[in-house]
Amino acid sequence: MAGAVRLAAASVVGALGLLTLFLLREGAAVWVQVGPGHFLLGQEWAPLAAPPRLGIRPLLLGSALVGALAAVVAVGLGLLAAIYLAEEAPPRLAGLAAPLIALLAATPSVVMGFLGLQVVAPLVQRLGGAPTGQSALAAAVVVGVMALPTVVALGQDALRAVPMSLREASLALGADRLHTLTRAVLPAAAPGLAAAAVLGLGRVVGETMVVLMLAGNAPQAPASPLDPVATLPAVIAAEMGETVRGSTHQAALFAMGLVLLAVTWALYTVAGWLGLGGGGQGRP
Amino acid sequence: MADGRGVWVVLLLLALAVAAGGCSPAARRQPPPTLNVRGSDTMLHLARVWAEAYAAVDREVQVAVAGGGSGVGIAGLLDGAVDVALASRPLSAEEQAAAAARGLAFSEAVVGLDAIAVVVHPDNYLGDLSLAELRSLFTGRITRWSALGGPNVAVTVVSRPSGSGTARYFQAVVLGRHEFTPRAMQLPSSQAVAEAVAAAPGGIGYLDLVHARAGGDRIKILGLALLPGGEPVLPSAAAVRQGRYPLSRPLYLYTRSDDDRAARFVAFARSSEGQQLLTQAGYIAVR
Repeated sequence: MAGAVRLAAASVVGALGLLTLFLLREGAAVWVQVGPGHFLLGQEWAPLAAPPRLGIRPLLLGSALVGALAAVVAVGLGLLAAIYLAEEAPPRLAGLAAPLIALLAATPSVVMGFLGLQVVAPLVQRLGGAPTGQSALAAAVVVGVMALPTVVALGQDALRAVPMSLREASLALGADRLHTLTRAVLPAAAPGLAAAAVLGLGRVVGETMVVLMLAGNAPQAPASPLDPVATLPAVIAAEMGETVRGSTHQAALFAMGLVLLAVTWALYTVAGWLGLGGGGQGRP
Repeated sequence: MADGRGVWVVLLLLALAVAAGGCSPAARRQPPPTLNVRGSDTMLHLARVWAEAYAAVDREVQVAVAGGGSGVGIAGLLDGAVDVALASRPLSAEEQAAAAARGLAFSEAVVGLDAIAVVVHPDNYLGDLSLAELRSLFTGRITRWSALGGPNVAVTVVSRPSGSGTARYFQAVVLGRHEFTPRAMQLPSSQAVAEAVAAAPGGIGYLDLVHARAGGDRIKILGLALLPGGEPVLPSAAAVRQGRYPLSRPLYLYTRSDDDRAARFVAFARSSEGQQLLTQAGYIAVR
């Protein structure tokens, strides 16, 4: 029995190791021929130019911009919602909200993308003045909403883990509810809330479909949230099908996959440090 | 009573077992083999029309049609996942080399003609452009329409990703050695290009004539002049066949030379019935 459990655990680690090795091997041509410096910091992504220019800096910036804006939406709304549901809402309402939040998490991303194209992009165009509405901002709003369930669920867990005695002690000392929340409960739950935010961000970074449908896919270094941008996962998805096997272009897409994996790992590691644990209780 | 029912159940199970055993593997109907047709989004509608009619011609195969871009179709043909590649451009040098490296021989058939329409927002009062002006717009040298005597709005360049045969053709013919501006939005389909240009007052994009016409009055098709000051020509079947419209191109089907099933589909596409369907679908027949 113990042996079987150990084997199962080893297979997870093994899959992760093989995945990394595979991405390293398939992308090797780029790391060797182009070099990490030119690949990561190159200003231009023009894979079919002669000679091809394989710099992913504009794509990294695009990913960072969409990620940061989506995090503002997900963390801002998500933590407030978690605080309300865990601390203030009547238990029946909180019980009603839980399955609805799960439903939001289960909505297929292509449906969210369609909704974004019909509703969010035109709104961004009207209010923000982006030429077509397809922009980093439009993609980020939708991706942020998609990350909401992660942040709300984990945030609620973190708040419920704060012992009731802490609240009672604070109230007994004469503090009002707002004071109790901001001075006693939130500081106690802070590591867990931070981990919830980072795991929500992890959900955001790899999102492909919505970004492909909404971000406008222009491989430029963005100057404003209203610019169309391309992100790492969207470019991998858009270009993987057409690459000739063994070409440098294909190797570059695999190398981008490795970069994406590294970023996601980094985020989950940070979440682990923050207390909640990306491996243990973390729900990606 | 309960026993009686039990007997019937046993008998039924036995009958089922006998029936299943009686079906030898040879006698069992094989599902019809699938002919995978994939590639150019420009030709996607056309391929679906052909596939529907082909079901009456050859009942032995099931035709599966998918898009993704000319590059996707050709890459699939190289890997063996695709039987007929739809391509709105000829094979590139790299693709020819990849085929040679795998010891594959491809057959090429021209099955129709297409015009690439350049479209702008209907509020843009410019009616035509020269190819040189078009290049300045798509390379990003001109960023405001007023530079060409148009309205004072910023240019929004709408393009297709590198897997699109339309994008490759446009780059080869209009841009030459130059590249698309990195500000160009790379949208996944002709339909998406039409939507984006219809939404952006400063938008300009290019797409196949069938989809451009389907856009109705939400987008405006421009006349193109080969040389600055030349006579602008609007895309039409006549202008394409006479070679007067500068952005017209053949549409290809690629197959493996030793694949007879695929060859029969190509022969159907080139037959008078296939060409009639092509004209009805809004494309331009070869003859």
